Amino acid sequence: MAEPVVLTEGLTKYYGRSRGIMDLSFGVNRGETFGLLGPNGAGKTTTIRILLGLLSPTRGRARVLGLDAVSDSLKVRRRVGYLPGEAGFWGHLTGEQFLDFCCGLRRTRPPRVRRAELARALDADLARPLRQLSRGMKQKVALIQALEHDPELVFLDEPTAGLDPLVQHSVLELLAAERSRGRTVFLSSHNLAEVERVCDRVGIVREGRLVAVEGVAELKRRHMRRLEVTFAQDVPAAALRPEGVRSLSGSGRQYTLMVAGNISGVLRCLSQFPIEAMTFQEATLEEIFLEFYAGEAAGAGRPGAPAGGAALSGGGPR
Amino acid sequence: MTLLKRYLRDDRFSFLGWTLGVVAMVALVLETQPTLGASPGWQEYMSGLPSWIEAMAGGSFNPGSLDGWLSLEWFSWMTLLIGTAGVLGGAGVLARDLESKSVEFLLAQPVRRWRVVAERYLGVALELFGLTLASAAAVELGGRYWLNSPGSYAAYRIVAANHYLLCLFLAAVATLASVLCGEQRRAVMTGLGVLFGGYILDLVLRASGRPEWLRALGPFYYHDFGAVLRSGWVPWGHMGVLAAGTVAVLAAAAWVFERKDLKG
Repeated sequence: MAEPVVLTEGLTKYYGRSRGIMDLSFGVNRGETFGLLGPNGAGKTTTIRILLGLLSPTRGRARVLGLDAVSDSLKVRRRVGYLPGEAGFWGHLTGEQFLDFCCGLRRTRPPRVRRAELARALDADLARPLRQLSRGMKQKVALIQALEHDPELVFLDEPTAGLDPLVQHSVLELLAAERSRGRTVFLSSHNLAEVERVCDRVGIVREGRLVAVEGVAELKRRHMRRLEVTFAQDVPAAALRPEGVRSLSGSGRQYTLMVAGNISGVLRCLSQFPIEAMTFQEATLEEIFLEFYAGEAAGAGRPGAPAGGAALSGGGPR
Repeated sequence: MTLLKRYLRDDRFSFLGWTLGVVAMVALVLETQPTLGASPGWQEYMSGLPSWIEAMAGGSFNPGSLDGWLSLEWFSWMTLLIGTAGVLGGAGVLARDLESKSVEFLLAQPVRRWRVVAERYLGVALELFGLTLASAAAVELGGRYWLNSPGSYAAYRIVAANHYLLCLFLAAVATLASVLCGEQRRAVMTGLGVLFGGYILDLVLRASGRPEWLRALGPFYYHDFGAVLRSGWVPWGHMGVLAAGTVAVLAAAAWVFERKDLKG
């Protein structure tokens, strides 16, 4: 089997005494879209920066496209694209000048045709100075920067963070197009819906540790939603325990249920009682972490415990 | 040379402003020499000044001569002026990008970190060269053709070359500070601290007759324009020390930046 395009083994980073990431081991296959999922501060950006050689790991090793991420960082960056999460722009440059500058650093000619295609796909304005552009428009320019030289692997750090739904949609469409062209995409996100939409597999990071690597289908199966229900009369909690309810809080007329999997059984159970109001929404990522991975995270925290939550991992390389 | 070209292009208006300012200052100094410098009252006033002011002017000079007047009114503090430009430029080599996080876009490209330091610093060095050249040309052309005054023009050129090397050193110190601090304000403060602190310390040590080895620890010891003007001496050794110091400090800046973690 071909070597994964990204492979980490026991990757660990400390910032002084504070934790960055701990014992991250995972692999990303060629042509796959891999999402690193986790709340802010989980260590996603740290992981990407190590893979690009912008940070040096405290322990462990990382290989990107068969090259050592630390010692061969320059060769790695020649072959990949990178969209930073919170980078600043040179506001006085226009989008076009910014992209030309990046090409100059790469010592390549500006790929005018590909740039025009990407700008058209994203509806990006490359003529105005960057300081005059909205955050979403700047993000589009940055995305073009990451993709225009047609890299075989692209790292995207929170590509849709802070963007309005329309821009998010265009970005995700573009990523889907990249995947269909056989490019490997490695993205980080704290947005579960986004990851579900574009990724083949996800790695879930919590407090610097990889608590799961699994396929999106598996994640969906585990995916919980929060059901808030108000009954017209008091209902005993014991009567609200159909299959699929992971947790239940509340009492009397008002309850909050965390539901996973098929919800029809839950709805059948609830409909036995007169319902006044009901809201059904996706659980936050943090709630899913708390519900599903608290045990695994604790296990992974033990010295010598295997990183990556082997019991939860999908079929991808490890 | 993408980084160098971009640097020079982005900084062109600032450079133009500095150059015009320096030339205007030289013109003002030259314009006042025949009247102010040659007036007996001024010369009397100068002779009563304390020794540290004499040290500031590079020693005892007659302000009635072009050498003396330039020594007192231009060479004595042009280092502070152009040195400040060097510090501001040096501090901006990396701190601005580190602070605004635009450095991530730089390093997302296949560019070596030392190249970022080297090309940006080269931009600062070229601008300082331009400023020093403008200053030296204004002094020489103004003295020769405007005032028609005899002066030690060859010595002025040596002073300018020595001064340029001192400014390069100060810019390198600010560059190192910019890499270490990662904040432009702190890098500027550090550079200006070395510039003004070193200047004042050298004056105090020179005026108080302290041992020479103590003065030799500061950069201003290596820019003795008074000695050059008096004797026409070419301070190769001093210039060599400044050049070596610049290379060493710059190499340290590149070394630190190569190993610097880019945190979020």
